[in-house]
Amino acid sequence: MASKKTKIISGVILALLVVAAVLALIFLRPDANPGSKAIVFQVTHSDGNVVDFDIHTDSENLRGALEQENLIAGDESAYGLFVTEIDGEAADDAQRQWWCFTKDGEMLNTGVDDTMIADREHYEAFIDVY
Amino acid sequence: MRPSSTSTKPELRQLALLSLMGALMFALQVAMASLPNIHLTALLIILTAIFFGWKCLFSVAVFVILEAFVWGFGLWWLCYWYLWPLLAIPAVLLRKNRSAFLWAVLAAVHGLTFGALCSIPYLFIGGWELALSTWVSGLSFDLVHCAGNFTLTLVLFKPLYRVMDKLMGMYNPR
Repeated sequence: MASKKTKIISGVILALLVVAAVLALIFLRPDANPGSKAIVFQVTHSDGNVVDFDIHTDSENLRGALEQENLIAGDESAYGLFVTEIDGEAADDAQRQWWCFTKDGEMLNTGVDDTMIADREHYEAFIDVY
Repeated sequence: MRPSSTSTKPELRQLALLSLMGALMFALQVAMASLPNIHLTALLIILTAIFFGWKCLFSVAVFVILEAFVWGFGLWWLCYWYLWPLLAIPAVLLRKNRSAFLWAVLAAVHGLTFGALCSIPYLFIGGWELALSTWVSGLSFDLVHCAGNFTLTLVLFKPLYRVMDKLMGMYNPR
């Protein structure tokens, strides 16, 4: 029969190997695929604060990319999502505010559902008044 | 218990028993295939090593050959030719030991290092980067393998040892 000391030593060796394997798993495992497209979404808040979001996504449209980051909220409409809130700031309809979306400074003609995105694109959003 | 022989040349009766042990390893591995890396192969190799000594390598060979007929011939299969003997060899060397805990530790270490040992050929195919990435990608399965081997061996070693001891007395009288 194995002595108590042998059992303790073998148990400790096994425990150390398991710990080493767990550490290797944590530190050596590559991150999950961050998404095939990288876009920048720049939000200009009403107080002038500008925030850039680097988004990695596999989403086809802008809505999917922004919802993936929990950046937008709004109302569903026949034309898709009507965005009323971005990055925690809601457009105040009483003050005739709305969120205007642009791409490289050019106003988008489509909603977030119909705006198809590609790698390395740059989108902006800011509060505008109608 | 009947002490295992140091001879490596099995008699016909032993050859039949060794083949059956290999077939049993294979059958249980296939039966438990739905459980990832949880099987009784390590425990059966240990028991075969205890009762048959170096002849247990015959059972291991039967097991490895049968594996290929179900799962196909891949690089993993070539690895099996050294992976399972790497468990059988220390098991034969330690075969006088009857501690379920120590056998459980041996089976667990074998399960834990299975992926690392299996990635050795990749060192020569794609360098250390490929070998390391192959090992790391399967590490979570190695941990399951380790836990499964440890638990099953710890729980089942003694009852299966008693059964085999009894059967060896019936079928392999000396």
